[in-house]
Amino acid sequence: MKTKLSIKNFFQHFSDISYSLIAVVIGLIFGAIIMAATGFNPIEGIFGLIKGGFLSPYAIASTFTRATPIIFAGLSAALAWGSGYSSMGAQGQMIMGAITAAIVAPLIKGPAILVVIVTLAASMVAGALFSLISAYISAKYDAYLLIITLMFNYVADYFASYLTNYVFLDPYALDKLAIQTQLIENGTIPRIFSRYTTHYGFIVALLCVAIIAFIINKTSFGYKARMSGLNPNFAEYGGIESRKTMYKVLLLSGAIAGLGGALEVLGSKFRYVDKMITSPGYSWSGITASLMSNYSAVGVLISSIFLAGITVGGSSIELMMSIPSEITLIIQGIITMLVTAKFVIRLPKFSKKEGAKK
Amino acid sequence: MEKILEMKNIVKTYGRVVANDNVSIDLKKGEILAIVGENGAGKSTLMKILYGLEKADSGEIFLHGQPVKITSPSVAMGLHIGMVQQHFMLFGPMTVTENIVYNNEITKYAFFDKKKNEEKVAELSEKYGLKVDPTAIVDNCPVGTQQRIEILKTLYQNADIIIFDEPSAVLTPNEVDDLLDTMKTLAAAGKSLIIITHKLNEVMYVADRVVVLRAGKLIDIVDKKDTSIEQLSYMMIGRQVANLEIVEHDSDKTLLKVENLTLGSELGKKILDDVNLYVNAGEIVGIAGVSGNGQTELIRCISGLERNYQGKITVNDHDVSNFDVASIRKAGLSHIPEDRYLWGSAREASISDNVLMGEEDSERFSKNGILKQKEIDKYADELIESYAIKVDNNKQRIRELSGGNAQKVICAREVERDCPFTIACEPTRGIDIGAMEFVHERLVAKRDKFGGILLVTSELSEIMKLCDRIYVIYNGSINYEFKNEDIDDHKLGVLMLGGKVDENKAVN
Repeated sequence: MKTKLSIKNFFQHFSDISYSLIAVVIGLIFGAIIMAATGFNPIEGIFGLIKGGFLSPYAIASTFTRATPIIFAGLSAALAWGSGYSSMGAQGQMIMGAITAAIVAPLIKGPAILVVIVTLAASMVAGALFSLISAYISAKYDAYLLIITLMFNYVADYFASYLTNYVFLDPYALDKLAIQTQLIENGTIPRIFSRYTTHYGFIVALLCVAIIAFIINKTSFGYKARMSGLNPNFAEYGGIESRKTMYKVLLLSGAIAGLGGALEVLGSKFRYVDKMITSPGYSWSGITASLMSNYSAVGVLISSIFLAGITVGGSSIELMMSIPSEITLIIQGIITMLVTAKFVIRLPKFSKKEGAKK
Repeated sequence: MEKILEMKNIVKTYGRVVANDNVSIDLKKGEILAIVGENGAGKSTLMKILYGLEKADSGEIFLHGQPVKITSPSVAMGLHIGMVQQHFMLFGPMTVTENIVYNNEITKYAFFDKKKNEEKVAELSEKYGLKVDPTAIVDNCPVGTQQRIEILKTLYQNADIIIFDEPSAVLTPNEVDDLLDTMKTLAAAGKSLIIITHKLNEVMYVADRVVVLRAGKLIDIVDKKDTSIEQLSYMMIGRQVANLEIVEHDSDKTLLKVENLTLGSELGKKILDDVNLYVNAGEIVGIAGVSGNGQTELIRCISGLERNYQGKITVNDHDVSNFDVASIRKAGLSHIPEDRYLWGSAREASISDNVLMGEEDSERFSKNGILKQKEIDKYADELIESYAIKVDNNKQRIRELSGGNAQKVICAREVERDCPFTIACEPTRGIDIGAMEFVHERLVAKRDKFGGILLVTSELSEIMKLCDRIYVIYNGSINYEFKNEDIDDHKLGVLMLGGKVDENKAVN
C-alpha cells in the first residue's frame, strides 16, 4: 500500500502537538503585529523576547525560576482535567500551600533539611485538604466543580490575606506598608548556582513531572483516572468507581499545587507576601500549559518553560527596547484563547452525539 | 432510466489503509441502490464522500451529468442530497416539527410560525406515509419514529437522493418492515435511494441493484433479480459462509439467577415488575422484546450499574444483590454493552487501553498498582490476532477503527475474559455478516465450554439462531418463556408486542 505523505496528513497525525505549536506561532505573530503597530521593530522585538527568555545562562536561569510554580500548577491541572474533573482550584491550593509553609517553617526547630521536609509535607496536606473541600461539595450537592473551585480561589486568597494582615504580619518589616509574614531564616531552599535565582525547587518540579507521568501512564490508578477522563460511561461500566477516583485525583492534584506554593515561599520569597501567587498569574499559566500539552506531564514541563520564558523575555525587552512587557500577556492571551477554543470546539461534537442517542 | 448521479474513480486513504480504491458507481432516478460489504470495506467512506463529510483524495462526482464539488453536508443538501445517519442527529428535548424544519423555518414577522410549520410537517408526513406526531417531543418517540423524523428532515430539504446508513441496525423487526416499505414508497415517488447495509435479506427485498465492495475495491454491481443471498455473501467475503452447528448441552449449575426483581422509576411507574429468570452453564438464553420494554434496565441491574432495585440477583453462586460493578465482575460476569461508543470503549484511547478495562487491578496485568504494559500489549495482540481485527498495531485508537472492528475489540475483551457468565447486548448491531458469524461462533464456543450467556438483542434471527431458551419481555415483565423445542417466530412476534398465547389454541 502506498502512503500518501502530505502536510495535512502530518498535522492530522500529530494534531494534538501541532495545534499547540500553531497556537504559539499565531500568538508570536500577533505579538509582532502589535509591536509593529505601536512603532517598534517587530523582528528585533520577537528576537529580543526569545533572547531575553532563553538565549543566555542568566535568561535560562530566570526562566526556570519563573517556570517552577507554573509547572506545579500545570501538573495539578493536567491531572484533574485529564481525568475529566475540571478543577480550576490550583490557585487556591497553591495559596494554601504557600501560607502554610510561611506559618509552619518558623515553628519547627532543628536541622534545615528537616524543616524543609516537614514544611513541604504540611503544605501538601494543606493543598490536598483544600481541594478535598471542593471535591466533597461537588460530589455531595452535585454542583459544578469548575465553579466551586473557582470560588474557593477567592476564599483562599482572602483567608491568606487575613492571616498575613492580622495574625502573622512581620512586625520588623522595613517597609511598613508591606503585607508579609516574618522572614524564614532556617529551612529555606538553596539556589543551585549561587549566581542565579534558580533554586532546588526546580529539580523537585522535574522529579514531580517524572512521577506524575509515571502515575498517569504506568499505574492502574492512572489508568482509571485517564479512562474516567476519556469516557466516564466506559469507566463506570468497567467497574471504576468514579467517586473514589475523583477524590484520589483531586487530593493528589491539590497536594501538587500545595507543594508548588510552598516551594515558591521557601525558594524564592522566603515568606508569604500578600498576592504573591495571584498577581503573577502562575495558576492561569499552569492551566494554559496543561491545555497546550493535552494533559501530558512532559508537555506541561515544556509548555511551562515556554510560557515562563516569554514572560522573562518580556521584562528584558522592556528594559532594553522599552517595548511594554504587557506584550507577553497579549501573546499568552492569544495562545490561551486558541488552545481553549480547541477545547470548546471538541465539546459540542461530544454532547451533540450523546444528545442524539437519547 | 436516466442516471442522476455518478461517482467516478473515487480514491480515499486513511494513513496506510485504502478505504476506497478507484470505486465508480452510478445511481438512476427512482431506484434503490444497496451498497453491501464487510466491516471496513469502504461503504460508509464512499457515502461520507458523497455527503461531504469526507474529502476524496481523487475522483469525480457528477450530478445530472454536471461535475460537482461536495465540500460539506450543507453543500450536499443544497444539491438535494440527504443522509439518514446511523446515529440520529436530533435535538431530544425539542418537538418533531422543530427538528424537521430546523434551519429552514417558516417565519411570521421574524418569529417561528408554529402552526404553519406543523401543518407543513403534517402534510409531508401524509404525502409519503411517514407517520409522526408533529407536536411530540423527540425524546419521547420510539427509535423507529426518530428515524422517520430523520427521513422527513431530508424530504423537507427537498432531497432527491437519500442515503441511508445502516438504517435497520437500530430498529425492531416490525419497524424494519415499515422502513423497507417506506423506502419503496419513496422510490415510487421518484426519489433515488442508497442504502448501506449488511442485511442481505433486506437487500433482496428492497433493492433494485446491489453494489458489492470488499477491502475498498468495487467487486461488482449486480441487478437484484440476477443474484441471490448466497452469491452476494460470497462476493462480500470471498468465501462461503458456514452454517453454525449448535451442539446440545445440559448442565445444572446456575450461573445467573434473578428473583423478584422490581425497579421503579422516579415517577412511581414500575420499569421492571417482578422479573424472574435464570441462566444455566452451557446455555445461551435470549431476552426478546421491542426495545424500551425494560431490557436496558434489566441489564443495568444485573451488571451493577443500577443499584436501587428490590429483589435478589445471584451470579455464579455469589449473592450480588445491590453490589457495585467491580464486585459483580469479580464474582464472574462479563458484559458486552449495548452501545459500543457510549459505554463499551474510550474512542480516544488505544486498543491496549480498551482491552484492559475491568482488569486493571488483576494480578495478570498489574503488580502493586503498577501496570505490566508488556503483558497487556501481548494480550491485546493475541486478541487482535484471534479475532482477526483489522488494525496496524495495538496502539491505534478505537476511533480509527471501523464500527465492526471496534465491536470486535469489545467482544474479544468480554467473551475471552476468564469468567463463566457473559451478558451480550446487541453484540452484532451494525456489523457485517462475516464479523457477525465470527462473534456468534465465539459465543457458542463459550457456551460449549460450559459458560452461560444472556443474549439481549432486537435481532430476531440472532435469537432464533443461537438461543436454547428465550424469555419474552414486555412492559417490564417476562411474559413468556420458550424452551428450545417450541421456539416459534410467529408466536414470538406476537408476544413481543404484548399479545397473549393460549397453550391450547392458536395465537391471537
